[in-house]
Amino acid sequence: MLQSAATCRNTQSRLMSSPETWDEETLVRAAQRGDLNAFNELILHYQNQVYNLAYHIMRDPASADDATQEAFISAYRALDGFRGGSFRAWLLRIVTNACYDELRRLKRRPKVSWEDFGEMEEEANPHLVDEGARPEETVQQQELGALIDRCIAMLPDHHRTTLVLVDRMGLSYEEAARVMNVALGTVKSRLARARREMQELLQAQKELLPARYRL
Amino acid sequence: MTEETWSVVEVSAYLDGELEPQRQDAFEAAIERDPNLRRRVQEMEGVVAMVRAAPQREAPRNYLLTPAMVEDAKPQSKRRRAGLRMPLLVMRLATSLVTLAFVATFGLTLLQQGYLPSAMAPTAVDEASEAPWLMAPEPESRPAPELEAADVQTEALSTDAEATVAVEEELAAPMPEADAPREVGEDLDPEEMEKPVGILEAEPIEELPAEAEDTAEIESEALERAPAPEVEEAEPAHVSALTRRIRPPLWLSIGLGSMAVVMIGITVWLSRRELG
Repeated sequence: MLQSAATCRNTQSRLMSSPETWDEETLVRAAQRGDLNAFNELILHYQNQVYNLAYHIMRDPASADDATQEAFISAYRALDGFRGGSFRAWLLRIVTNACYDELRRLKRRPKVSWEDFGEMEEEANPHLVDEGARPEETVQQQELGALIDRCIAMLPDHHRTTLVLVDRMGLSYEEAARVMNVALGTVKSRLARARREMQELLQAQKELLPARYRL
Repeated sequence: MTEETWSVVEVSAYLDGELEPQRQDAFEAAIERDPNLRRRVQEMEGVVAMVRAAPQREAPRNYLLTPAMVEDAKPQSKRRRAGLRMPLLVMRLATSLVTLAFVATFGLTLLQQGYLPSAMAPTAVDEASEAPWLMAPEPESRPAPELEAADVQTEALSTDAEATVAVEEELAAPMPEADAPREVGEDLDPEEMEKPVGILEAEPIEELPAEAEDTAEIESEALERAPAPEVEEAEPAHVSALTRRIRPPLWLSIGLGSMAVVMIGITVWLSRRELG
């Protein structure tokens, strides 16, 4: 029972990055030689993760959209600098840096008040629908997704990013440390605090949780 | 036995299997014993499961790159940087050379115009002490008065004003025996000391011809009237012969300086363009 969360995360990670026909290394090498189609295949594979990370950092769909496109262009520019290792971590680091730059810029010249972010996306996200699920389960998933998104949005920047990288995207601690350019211990402590904060936020809204998730 | 306190970081790391092996065993043993710790683990596990169970968002569109976007992004900047590399190298070299030439010519001009820092220009006293041949001659080797007057005139043109004044004073004063330097007369017999030396032995000071005295006075007066600028304008002794021979015109320094400023500007601009 206690090990189920870790097992769940590992499975999620495997499904995301290791389909049978997927040969990331070959595609990366081809893209480095200038093969645009190879790079576009990498984009198709990673665009959901990149967009999700951008969305959670920016807390705004339009900004996340811009940041995602910019990140892929930046990645293509910097492809010569990729020296192996985890391509996903390298790509997510680019989008993380792009989002933090944008956040800093927004904080200097805010267009909207930060309170607006707490009320974003009250309605269910149409992209969250699981086509194989029954209607009531679909509704429950949508509600859960919206609630989790709202709670994540209330976390401090670095805690939010760490939680999304590890718990939402299934990165290992080492990969998350590489993405955020921090020490492994920093990832551990930020993640623990983010989880505790999430626990407090969810407990405060437990009447909104689906019955099987009530804390 | 008191239970060990487990931090939230350790509880979180335990859920991800990130505790060290020894701590992992101790943690599992503590869970068996401590219901409070077990509850903390279960609560955090519930949160983690919920966050992971929430569906991921799908990207609202595809972010595929088109050849036009790629053309804007990568090759153009690479081509531009490669094209700028050689001109930038040449400009850096040329700028360095022009700047060096400017510094050299401007420095020479300053030296020849006499705009030297005071610390570098030697004083008359220093010069005299460092170059004893520029000082007034010693009394014991003093030549005959008629020759002496001529010597004073020639030396005055090549030495500084103080040395000239010293010679003048000596001419005006009689030649007492005590004027002889101590170190010269120490090893001599006192009787010998009383006798004049060399040419002075034949022609004692007291019997100086009036004509010679007049000549000395005229010369000393001429020296007093001699224009001071001749002495002041004389170049310092340490200015090398090379700087005297090479006399760059002022317009050359100004031209090189202006060129160096313009070239530095162009080089900085090219460097920024190369960096993108």
